[in-house]
Amino acid sequence: MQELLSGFTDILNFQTLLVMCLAITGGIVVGTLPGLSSVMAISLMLPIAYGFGPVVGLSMLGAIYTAALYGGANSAILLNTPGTPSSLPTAFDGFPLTKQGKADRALYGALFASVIGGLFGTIVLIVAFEPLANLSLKFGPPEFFGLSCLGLCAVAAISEGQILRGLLSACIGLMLSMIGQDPVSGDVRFTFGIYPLISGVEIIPALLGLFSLSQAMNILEMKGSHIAPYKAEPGVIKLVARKISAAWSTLLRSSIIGSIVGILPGAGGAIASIISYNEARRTAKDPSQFGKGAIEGVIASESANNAQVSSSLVPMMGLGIPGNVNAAVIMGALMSFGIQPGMGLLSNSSDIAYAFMASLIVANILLLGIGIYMVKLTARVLLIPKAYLGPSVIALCIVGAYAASYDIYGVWVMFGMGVLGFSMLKLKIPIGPMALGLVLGPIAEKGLGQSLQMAESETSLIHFVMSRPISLGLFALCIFTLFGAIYVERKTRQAKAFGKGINND
Amino acid sequence: MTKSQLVIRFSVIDLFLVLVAGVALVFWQEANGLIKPFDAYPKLVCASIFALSFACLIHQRLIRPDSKVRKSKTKIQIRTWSMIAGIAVYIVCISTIGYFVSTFVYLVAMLQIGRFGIDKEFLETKTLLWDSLVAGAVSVVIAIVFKLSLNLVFPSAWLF
Repeated sequence: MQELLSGFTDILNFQTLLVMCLAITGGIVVGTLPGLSSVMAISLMLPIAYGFGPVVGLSMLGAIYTAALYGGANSAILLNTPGTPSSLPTAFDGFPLTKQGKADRALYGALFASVIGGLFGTIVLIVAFEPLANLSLKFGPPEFFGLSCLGLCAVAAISEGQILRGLLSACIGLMLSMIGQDPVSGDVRFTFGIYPLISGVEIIPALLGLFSLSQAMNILEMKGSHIAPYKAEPGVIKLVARKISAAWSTLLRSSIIGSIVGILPGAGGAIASIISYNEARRTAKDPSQFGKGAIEGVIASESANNAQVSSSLVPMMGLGIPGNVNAAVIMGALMSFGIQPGMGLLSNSSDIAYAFMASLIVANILLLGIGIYMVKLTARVLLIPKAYLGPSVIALCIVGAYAASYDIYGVWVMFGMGVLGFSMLKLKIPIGPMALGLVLGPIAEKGLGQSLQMAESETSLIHFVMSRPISLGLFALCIFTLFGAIYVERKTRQAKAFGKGINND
Repeated sequence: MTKSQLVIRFSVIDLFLVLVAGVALVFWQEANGLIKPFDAYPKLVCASIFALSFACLIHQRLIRPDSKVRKSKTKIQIRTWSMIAGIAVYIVCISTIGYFVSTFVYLVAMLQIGRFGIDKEFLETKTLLWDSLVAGAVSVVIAIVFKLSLNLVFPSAWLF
C-alpha cells in the first residue's frame, strides 16, 4: 500500500498529467478511426516515451492503451465499425441504439462501463498480479483450444434466431484464418500459388473490410439523407448513470470475466468481451432485447474490454511473458528503460512498477473527464449526410488498410472482405462470428496442434483432455452455451407463436 | 406435403451456401497434402463448413415462407455493382497515380453519383464546386491525420 501511494506521488505532477491527458485524447481518436489500432499508437509513441523517461513514458503508454481500446467503441456504436476487435460485441447493441436515435446513451454507457471495468482490472492487477500470474501458467494448449471454442460457441449463440448461420459464419472465419503459415509447424498452406497469401489474411485490413467497407457500402444504399436521426438527449448522463447502477451485476460479472481472460496470455480482449456479452444476454430478464439496442450489451462488452487492459499486463509484469501484442510493446518499452520484466520487477524496480500501476488508475479517471467531452464531439458524426460519410469512410478504409499492412495487398484483402461482408449482410448471414473466427482461428489452431503433439505420448487425445480439469470445464461450458442457446431460441419461438395466437384471438 | 411445398426454388443464399461448401472441399483437398497431425485442424474446419452449409440448405427448405430469413431476397442493383467497381478502380489508381489525385477524383465522382435516386434532399442544391471543396477537404484531413500526425506510409506512385 505504501509503495502504491508513493507511486501516486511520482505521477501526480503537472508534466505527467498533461502528457497523460494528451495521450488519452490521441488514444481515443486512434481507437475511433477504423484501421488504426492501439498497438500502432503505442509503437508510434515508443520513441517519445523513451525521451520522457520510465515513469512519464510508461504512464503515457498505459494511457494510450486504455483510451484506444475504449475509442474502438465509438466507431462500433456510430458506424457499426468496431475500431478494435474487442469492440465487436459493442456494435451488436450500440449500432441499433444509434439507429433508434439514442447514440448518446450508447456512447456514455460505453464510456462509464469502460472506466469502471478499467478501474476494476487495475485493482486486480495491483492486488493479485503475483498469484494470478502463477495461475495463468496452468493454461496450456488444450485450455487455449477450449477457450477459443468457447468464444466461437458464444458468438454463434448470440446470433439470435440464426445459430446455424452464425456457426457457418464463424467457420468461414476459421477457414480464412488458416491461409498462410501453420502457427505450429510453420508450413505454408492454402495459398494456391498466390505469393502474397503466404503472410495470411491480415487481421486489421480484414476487419476493416468486413465492418467498415461493407457498412460504408450499406450506408450508400440506405434510404434517407443521414445514417440515423441524432438529437442530443437532455439529462442523458444521469439516465445512463441510473442504467449503469441498475446493471451493477452485469458490470461486475463482465469486469471479472475481462480480468480473468485478460490474464491468460494470447486470449485477448475479443474473447473477454464476447463471453461477457453472451453471459449478460443469458442472465438478462429479457434476452430478446439483446441485438436490438440493449444498453446492458454495450455495458457488458465495454467493461470486459477495458478490464482486460490492465489484467493483460499481469503475465508480462509477473512472469515476463507478454499476454498480447500491446503488452509486448509495453514490455519492449520497459526493457528499453533497462528494466527487466518478470518476477524480479518488484524486487529491483518496484517504484516504477507501482507508479505504472497508479498511472493506470489515474488514466481511467482522466478518461472519464476527457471522454465526456469527446462523446459530444464524436456523436456529431451522425450529423454528416451519408452521401458525404459513405465515400469518406471508403477512402479512410483504403488508407487505413494500407497504413496497417504497408502494402497494397492489405488493401485488396480489405476490399475482398468488404465485398464478402456486404454480400453476407444482404443475405442476412451475421458477419460478427466470421470476424471472431478470423481472430480466434490462429489461437484455436495452435492450441489443437500443440495438444495433438502433447497427446502423442498419451493413449488418446480424449484421455489427455479428460486428465486436465480446466480444459474439461471449458468444453463442458461450450456444450452448455450451445445447447443453452438452442433451448432459448426454441422457447423464444414458442413464446412468439403463443403471442401471435393471443393477438389473433 | 402439398404441391406448392414440393417446388424447388433456388435463391442467392443457396448459391452462396453451395459456393462455400465448394471452397471447403477445395481446402480439404489441399489439407490432404499436409503432414499429420497438422492436417487435423484444417480438416475439422472444412468438415464443419461442409456440414453446416448442408444443414443451412435444409433449414432454408424447412422454414416457413413468412419467416424473416425467407424474406431475405436480394436485389442486386446496378448501382451496387458500379459502387464495387468504383472502389476497385480507386484502389488501382491510388497505387499507380497517387493518393491525392485519385482520392479527390473518387470522392467528387461518388458525391455526384450519390445524387442519383435521392429526391428533394439538400444535396440537390449543392454544386460541383461544393462537392470539389468537400472532396479536397476530406483528402487533406485524411492526409494530415495519417501522414503528418501519425507519420504513416502512403502508397508510392508517380504523382504525389
